[in-house]
Amino acid sequence: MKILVADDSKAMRSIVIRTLRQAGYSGHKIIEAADGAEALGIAKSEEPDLIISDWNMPEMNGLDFLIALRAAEFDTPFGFVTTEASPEMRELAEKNGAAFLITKPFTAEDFQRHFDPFLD
Amino acid sequence: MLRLPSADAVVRMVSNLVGTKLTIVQQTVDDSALTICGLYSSGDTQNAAACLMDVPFGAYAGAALSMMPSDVASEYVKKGKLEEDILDNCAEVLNVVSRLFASSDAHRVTLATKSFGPDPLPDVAATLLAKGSRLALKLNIERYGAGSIVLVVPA
Repeated sequence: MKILVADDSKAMRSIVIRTLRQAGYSGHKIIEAADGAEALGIAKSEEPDLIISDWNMPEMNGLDFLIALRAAEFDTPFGFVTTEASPEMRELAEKNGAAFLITKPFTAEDFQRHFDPFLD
Repeated sequence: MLRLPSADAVVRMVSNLVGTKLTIVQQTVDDSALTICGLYSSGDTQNAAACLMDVPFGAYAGAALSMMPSDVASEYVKKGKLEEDILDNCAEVLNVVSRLFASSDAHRVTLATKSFGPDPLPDVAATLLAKGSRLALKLNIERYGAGSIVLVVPA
């Protein structure tokens, strides 16, 4: 399976990938993107099985990435891993088709709870 | 106005973030050693809070974040400044610390500016540090070392 990790922080992408391994999701192909626009292109070309995206990113933020992805008729499971998580952000995420919103810092157990429906 | 978190909340959050155990060494710090700075905004309020670190804390927390070897972090401590990848890691610690100032998820606090020394702290941060309410901690980061972090909000 393929997992797309989108975050403008290289450090945070590393942490997400480390936590994926700690959560037991090994053997999956991890693809990284440094902003929403890059992630959108990769999502369309690579068709990952799960997208884990930051909210605040340059070029295209995570919400606009999600909206553009859904507008292009891709129903890839999509969730946010982000520092902020206001009720408005949660509502926007859900309304636009996000499956989850996880706040930083997160644990392997958080990942398992949200990712198990999508990953082996 | 933003709030100061408890010492336990800081230890718990940073420990979760960097993936290793933190313990409180002491609750006083040397202000003159604080050269790493994050300034936070809340709604329309600029400089609503600050997080300040000395180089050891920035280096050790940054290294622990992506499991860099401790001797890499120790080299930065010897140099007295952070460089390259560890800057990005330290910035992520400053970013996530924003959550410690918020009393609920409805309260938006964002990292507005950051600086990593070795230049002196920005004036606004130095003023906040001198006049604000603070939580000062020297924390030991398991397998790395001890450093200081100070969270400040206006008094």
